[in-house]
Amino acid sequence: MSGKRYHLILTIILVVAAIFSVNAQDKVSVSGIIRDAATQEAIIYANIAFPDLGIGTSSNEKGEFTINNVPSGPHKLSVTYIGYQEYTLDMVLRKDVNLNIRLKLQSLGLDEVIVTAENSSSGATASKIKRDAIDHVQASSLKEVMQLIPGNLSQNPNLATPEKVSIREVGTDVNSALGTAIVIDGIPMSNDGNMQQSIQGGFASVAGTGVDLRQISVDNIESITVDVGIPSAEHGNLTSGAVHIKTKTGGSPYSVKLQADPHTKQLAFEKGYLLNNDRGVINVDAGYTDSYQYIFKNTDEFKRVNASTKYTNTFFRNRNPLNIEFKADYFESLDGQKWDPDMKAEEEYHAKDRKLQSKLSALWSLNKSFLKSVSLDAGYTKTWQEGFEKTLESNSSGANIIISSKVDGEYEAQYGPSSYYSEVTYDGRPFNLYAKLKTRLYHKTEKTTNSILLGTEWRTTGNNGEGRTFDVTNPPAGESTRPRPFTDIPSLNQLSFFAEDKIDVALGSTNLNVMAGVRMDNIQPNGIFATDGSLSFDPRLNISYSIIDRGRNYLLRNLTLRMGYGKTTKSPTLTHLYPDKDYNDVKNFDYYPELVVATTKVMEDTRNYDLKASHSKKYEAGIDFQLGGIKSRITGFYEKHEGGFITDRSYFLMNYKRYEQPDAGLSPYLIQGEGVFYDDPETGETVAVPYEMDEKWKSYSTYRNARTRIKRGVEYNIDFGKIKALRTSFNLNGAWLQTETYTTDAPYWETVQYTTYEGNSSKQVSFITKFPNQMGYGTVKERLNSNLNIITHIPEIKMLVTLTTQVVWYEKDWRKTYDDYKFYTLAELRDYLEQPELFSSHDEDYYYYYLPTSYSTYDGIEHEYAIDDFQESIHQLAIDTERRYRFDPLTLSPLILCNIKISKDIAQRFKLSFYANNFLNIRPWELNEREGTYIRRNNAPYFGADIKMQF
Amino acid sequence: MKKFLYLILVLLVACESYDEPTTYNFSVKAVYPDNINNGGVIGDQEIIVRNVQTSREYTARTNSKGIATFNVRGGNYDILISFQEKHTIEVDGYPTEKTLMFNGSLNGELILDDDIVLTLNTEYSIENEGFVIKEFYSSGSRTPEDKSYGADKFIEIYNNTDEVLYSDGLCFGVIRHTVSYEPTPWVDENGDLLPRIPLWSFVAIVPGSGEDYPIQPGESFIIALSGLNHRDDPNGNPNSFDLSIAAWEMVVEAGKYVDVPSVPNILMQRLTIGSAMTIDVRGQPVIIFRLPSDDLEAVFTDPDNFMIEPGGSFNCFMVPRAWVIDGVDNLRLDDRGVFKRLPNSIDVGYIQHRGSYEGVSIRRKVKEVINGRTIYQDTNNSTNDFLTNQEPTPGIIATE
Repeated sequence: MSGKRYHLILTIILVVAAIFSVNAQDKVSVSGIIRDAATQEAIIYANIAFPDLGIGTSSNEKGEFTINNVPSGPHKLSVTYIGYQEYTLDMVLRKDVNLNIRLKLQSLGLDEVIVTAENSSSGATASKIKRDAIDHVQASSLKEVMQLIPGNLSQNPNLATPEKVSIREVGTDVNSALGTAIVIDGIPMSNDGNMQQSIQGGFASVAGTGVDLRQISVDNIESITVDVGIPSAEHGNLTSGAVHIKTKTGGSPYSVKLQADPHTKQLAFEKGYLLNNDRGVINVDAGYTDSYQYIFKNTDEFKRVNASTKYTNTFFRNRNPLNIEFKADYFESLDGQKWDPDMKAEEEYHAKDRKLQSKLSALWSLNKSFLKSVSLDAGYTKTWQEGFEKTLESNSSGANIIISSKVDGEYEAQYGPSSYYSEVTYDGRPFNLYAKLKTRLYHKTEKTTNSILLGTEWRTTGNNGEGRTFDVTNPPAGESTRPRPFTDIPSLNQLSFFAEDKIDVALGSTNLNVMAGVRMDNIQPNGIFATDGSLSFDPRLNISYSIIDRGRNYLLRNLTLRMGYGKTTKSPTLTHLYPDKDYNDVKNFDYYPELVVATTKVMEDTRNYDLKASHSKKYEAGIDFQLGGIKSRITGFYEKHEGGFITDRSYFLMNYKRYEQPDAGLSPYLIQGEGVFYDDPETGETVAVPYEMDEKWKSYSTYRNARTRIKRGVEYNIDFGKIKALRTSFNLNGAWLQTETYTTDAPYWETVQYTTYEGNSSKQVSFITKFPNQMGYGTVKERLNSNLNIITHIPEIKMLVTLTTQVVWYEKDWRKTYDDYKFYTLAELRDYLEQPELFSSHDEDYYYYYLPTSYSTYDGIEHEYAIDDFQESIHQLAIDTERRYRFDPLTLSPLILCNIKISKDIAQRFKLSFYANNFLNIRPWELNEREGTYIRRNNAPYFGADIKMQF
Repeated sequence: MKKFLYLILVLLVACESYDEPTTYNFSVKAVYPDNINNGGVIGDQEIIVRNVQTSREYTARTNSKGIATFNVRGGNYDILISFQEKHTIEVDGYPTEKTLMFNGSLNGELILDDDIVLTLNTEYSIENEGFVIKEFYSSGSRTPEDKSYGADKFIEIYNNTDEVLYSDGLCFGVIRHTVSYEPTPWVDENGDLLPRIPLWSFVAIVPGSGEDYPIQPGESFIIALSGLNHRDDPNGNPNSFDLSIAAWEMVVEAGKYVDVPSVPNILMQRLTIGSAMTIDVRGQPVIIFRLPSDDLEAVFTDPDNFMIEPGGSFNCFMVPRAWVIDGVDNLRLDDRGVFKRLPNSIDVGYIQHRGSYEGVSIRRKVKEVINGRTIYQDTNNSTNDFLTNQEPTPGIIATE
């Protein structure tokens, strides 16, 4: 796409905006007072906002507020305060108003408590999960909250292994998780600077993948909005979706929560201090989580400590309110495995993260006729990461050969014991700088309102840790690993601009809402439009057309059609961009125990300079309607994510001298740069050990933009409302999802080894063959599920019970082949290669055959394969086989799962909650007919409880 | 009520009748292979019948019609025959008198009926030249830290005769497919083992032109994976033993094991890919054999000597039974079952050891000691001839 075109569009938007600003408008003033509905006490620091105008303020010490210069017309006012139910008011403003607002304290004693994900009503297709719902889930991390998103399945809490976020897909995926932005109070979390790649696999590494959801505790969260559809142009560096987290603000009593399940104990504390004389509010919270993977031993532990302080204040309340929010967070996690005294080998692993985050947000509601507000979000995060692996390196082949040269050439190596302890430390210091400046403009004509957002964003991600260090004489995992500092890794910068217009057009009784935006991301910018990395322009469009919107007397009360298209972009991370040097070692002289010599070849630069950002294109269409009391939302979508990051292998030829072994009893020695010699014991002459030059294929891994993931599906959420007599409401949600993953544009090299004979000795040699694509087939997974929530809420006894019945109606997966990559049956292959006797030992229908397209021998030249080449048996070895039954679809039958959750308020101060997952213990063994194995899909029964106390 | 009493009575009577165990008569007819005596019957030889469940053995001799009869309790029975006879056979087109060792077995035959007649086919092997596998150690050991150590595998080959034998050209190979709780894919359409034995990974060949490496009567030589003093070397394993006494070590280019200069390298023919010499720690059937020609290149480049594994992709080197000198069907100990890999003509039984990295070997039993020279028992039945789970004794010739 041409950059100029978008540049032009941007200019046009700005010009149009400037024209609008000339027109004057009628303005009104909205003021009021906010009180507690029960006690009539003034509520201080309640947040009052007109979200569509992007302006807001907070109430003062007397609970009063004023917002001047509000354009007349229909608006939505929203009042929120910690621990209270959100208050919204749709009003048509014609003159100044003074409101008397009563907020209700959140409690199970209220008539309406929502514990499911709600459909978000403006802009992007999103689900909103509020505090009540988070409490009711009794989540120990963000992962469990994500269960509430339609299409996701119930899951037991798990803090033992890293958790990836998944949106609109079957299963989890590294690229999907990487492409999901997690934004906390306006600042996106970043894992892009994480370089903690474990060599041993001792600790779970999430480098190059998304944020580990275990690290996000949910106790201080006010609400979570999950953009599953096309996000606003404001949000970038994502492909799959976005999770927006808003933490609590406002005065609140001391609150302590204790939570326990068989693996995990949690403690959380929070308090909101109101400072006198309108000097603001300070929110403090802290949490401690300790989880053991096994209930029978305490070796594998995950520990999380989090503390945060947030200061919020509003200045110039009566003129142009300026909201300031300053937040400092401390976070610590330990994911480790201690030495198990039952094991003789004293092995230990841990990954420790300590993180300091600070951020400043300012929203200045200027409230001019055109320029409504200016806001700034800036954050800086610094993480101290320490990975540690102590392993007993044991080589069942006997003595180890330890090679430690960091430069090319022939060097003396060392013999080492067959087992020794290796200690590797990974010191990572990722840092992230983020700043976003945006402004909101507003223009209204008789039928049309435009709410325009313009902004720019800067991100810097780097890592200046000491990196991977270890004693080179006790290296991890034998050969070909060396220490690596992170300090020389460049930073990753991103400059973005975005512009979006939210247009609201009244068309008779119907209403058309268009959210059209464009976003530019310049990764590694070298100027505004010049780049050293990649430059992308992402259009985003969400249209909703409200055809019917009328009162309670009608059967069909609401009907809205929605559609959207959007492109999204995710930059590669530091691990993708700056992979380690690759060390290749060949032992070429071995005379135990006197001398061992090895040749080392270092690939200094293993970067893929063509690596670009990955992109996703999303299409969706949906319908929202309300029939009587039944509210429904159904959305169909198609998303194609291309250029996802994979590792591939690149091959090269390595030359070395292959020495003969001289007779026993000599003392050979290496003369650097010349070779191996010994002194003849009889004559005293220096004798060179004879050698032959030899070569070998070696490889290193390369990152490529090659993974494609297609998400198709229909998600639904039907709220049947409440049957008053039963005090029970019903909610049905779920999705049909189909997720297809395959690789393109990644030529895949493989080595083929064979044996040659010369005289009386044989030798293994190899050549490499190129396949047009890794694997050549894709995998498709499909699933239809429904979750029926039966929510019984009895306000009189302040109790809420949810019974969730999850049915996976069917689950199916298969391998898909593509026309570009031909798989032959044996008959087809024999025909094609004109060899009727080929692979005579193979069963007729057992394999598919995948042909390489070219090969390269020790001459290093790539030769195209001709049909005749496959007459030779060594080239027949290069033909890849895949078992055909693995391509058959496997369909699994319906499976039911029942979970129950109970919450109860006791007096004003206590709240007790309990859950039991799969309490009927439905866990059948099912036959996987394709593989002939038995599987168990449902989670094991699991339970937990928490108690929350307020003082 | 009366009816019930009758019923109970009947049941009691019925139970009563089971008090005396029923025995069954059955007979076994033993026959020669087709090319000996035209496949006629074998007279006056002992047949052993062994109850699989109780291990109780019965023996009977065949009559002139080749039939031996047994009276046994119901159950599954293994039936074995093993004897030696001199016959004149054709070797390379010339009639030669050789001592032939006949072996035959039926496994798990169900005897639950009277007068079953079973036919016991036999195979023969020509009495070997005198080299026997004295000890084979594939299990590997454990280090003091409980890690596995597999560099100390070896095979020890013994001259069981009273003459000097020459080890030049002697080959050692491992048999493909050690998942011995499943049937082997190397069978013909009747499910019988193929006439050739599939080898993979390598063939180790003692170099020499014919008389370079003599082995005296009552002496042995060791082919070690790595000829290190594993026990005393600082980089070895104190729980292992000394293999620096080995005659040969199996070093390959870019191999995993260090090359000890004092132990010469045996000639390694690589068959399948990989730098590890695949000797299965859980149990590995092995053979020692001689190639028909000294022209190794011709042997190993002749596609007729190779075969791709049925249903697989390994191109294995195929050894005809006639090349084999000795073999041991060392199978994996697994409660899912056991299926033989070697034909009866080489090993009519099988032997299992404890498991991976248990530090145990299988070792041939001493038959007798004549004038201080040990003679190992060699009846072509490893079940009888070998001791299992032995502490390895490389280089030590037992005298009792």
